[in-house]
Amino acid sequence: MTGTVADITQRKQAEEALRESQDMLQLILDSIAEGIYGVDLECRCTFCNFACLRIMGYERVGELLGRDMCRLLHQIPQDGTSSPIEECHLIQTMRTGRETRIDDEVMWRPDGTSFPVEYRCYPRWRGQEIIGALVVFVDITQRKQAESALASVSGRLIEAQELERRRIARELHDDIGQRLALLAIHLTQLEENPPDSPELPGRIAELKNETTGIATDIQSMSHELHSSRLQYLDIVAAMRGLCEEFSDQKQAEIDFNAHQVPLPLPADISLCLFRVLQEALQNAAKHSGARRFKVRLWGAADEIHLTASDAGSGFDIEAAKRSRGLGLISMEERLKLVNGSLFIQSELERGTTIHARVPLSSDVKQVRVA
Amino acid sequence: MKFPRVLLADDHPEILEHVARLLHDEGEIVGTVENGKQLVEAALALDPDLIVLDISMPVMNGIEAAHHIRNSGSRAKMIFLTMHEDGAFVNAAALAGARGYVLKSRVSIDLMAAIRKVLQGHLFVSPPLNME
Repeated sequence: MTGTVADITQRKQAEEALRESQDMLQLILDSIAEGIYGVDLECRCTFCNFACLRIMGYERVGELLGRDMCRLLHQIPQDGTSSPIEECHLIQTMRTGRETRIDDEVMWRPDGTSFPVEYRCYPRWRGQEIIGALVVFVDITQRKQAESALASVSGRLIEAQELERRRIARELHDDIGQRLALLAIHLTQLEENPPDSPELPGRIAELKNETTGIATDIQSMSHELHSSRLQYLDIVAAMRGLCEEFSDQKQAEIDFNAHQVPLPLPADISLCLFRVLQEALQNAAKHSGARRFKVRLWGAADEIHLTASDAGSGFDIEAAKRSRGLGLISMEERLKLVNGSLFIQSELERGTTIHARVPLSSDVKQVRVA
Repeated sequence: MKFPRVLLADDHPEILEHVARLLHDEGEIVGTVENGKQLVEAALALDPDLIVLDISMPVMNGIEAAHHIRNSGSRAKMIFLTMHEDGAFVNAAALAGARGYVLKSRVSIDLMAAIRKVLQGHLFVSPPLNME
């Protein structure tokens, strides 16, 4: 038996150092929030950290060590059929030597529940050779929930409302607020240093003009938010006004006609149809390049109809609904609230017609017919 | 008519005061109300010669009130005093039976002229609106 005391001591020191560095590694691994596990070339788990156990719902490292991580965590689809090994990203990573990042899969816990994950696979090299892989993952349940809440219609409508509030608040504060503050300063100057008589009327006239300008702009802001014609007059006058304004602003030609419209129309139906027309015109202006429109509002047998058509470039309806734009969806939602319906016909290069239909209850009193 | 009995309707007290000052010794203010519903009731109860009314009032707006007043057979002549410069509102006022339409921004210049003209049986619309 060979071996000196010095050899044994050196080996012991080396073992000691190795243990220390392993302990250190484990300490670091266990303090990390992401789940981390390593596998060998057969996808069997060689180590894992504390977060891995916690996220996956296991109690002891022993439950995972040596098990086939592909089958255990990823390959049990809900319908019970198993996907072939080739699809396992771990295997792919070890075969190609390339990192992969996956964020559209789920992992399964021992209790049968699943959760969405984002994970990265890294190949483990020894020299030129791949000897296994490392997986770092996080549970993205909360992130997915936040995304789908945002994507849902109500989430987006709330977002849109908040955006508009910010816009109004900014216009009031930065524009109107500032101009009024300036006016107050000018008035103070006038109070403290009244100019000599001949100048005074002129100076006051300037201040009056500033004031009137502010009043006009506030009225415009108000009008943008809610049509006063809709509030005090009737839907026909309001739509006619909308068409005229749109016509002026966009240099477009709108042929508006209303007939047999039972007035007064219930306020919720009026507002709904008004907003649908507003949305349809704005959409057309943004996307279709159309310059001529035909808008019709008419009543027939307990129903009221609105059509808006153009001969513009048309659009892909399904794509428009899927995109981030709220326009079509909010039109549909508004009409649903009054038991109405929306039909859209659009052919690329041929033009678009939107047709809204709202039922009227038979006890709507007909006072005037436009 | 030398000294008309006038009913005022506006939800802003400063306007009511201002109009009262303008009217001063040319008419008798028999009542002031602040919404369209009160206006219709007061017109029936007081039988004024002249009504000066706003459009934007709570409960019932001025245009609707004017329709009711006209339908009730009242002989009061109505003059609107309003911020709304939109021609569609002038048309609606005329359809509701109004004889005058004065912009609030021109109240000091136009109101008394409007009152005199309307009491003589003519119509009056604040000049900037005449083109519509």
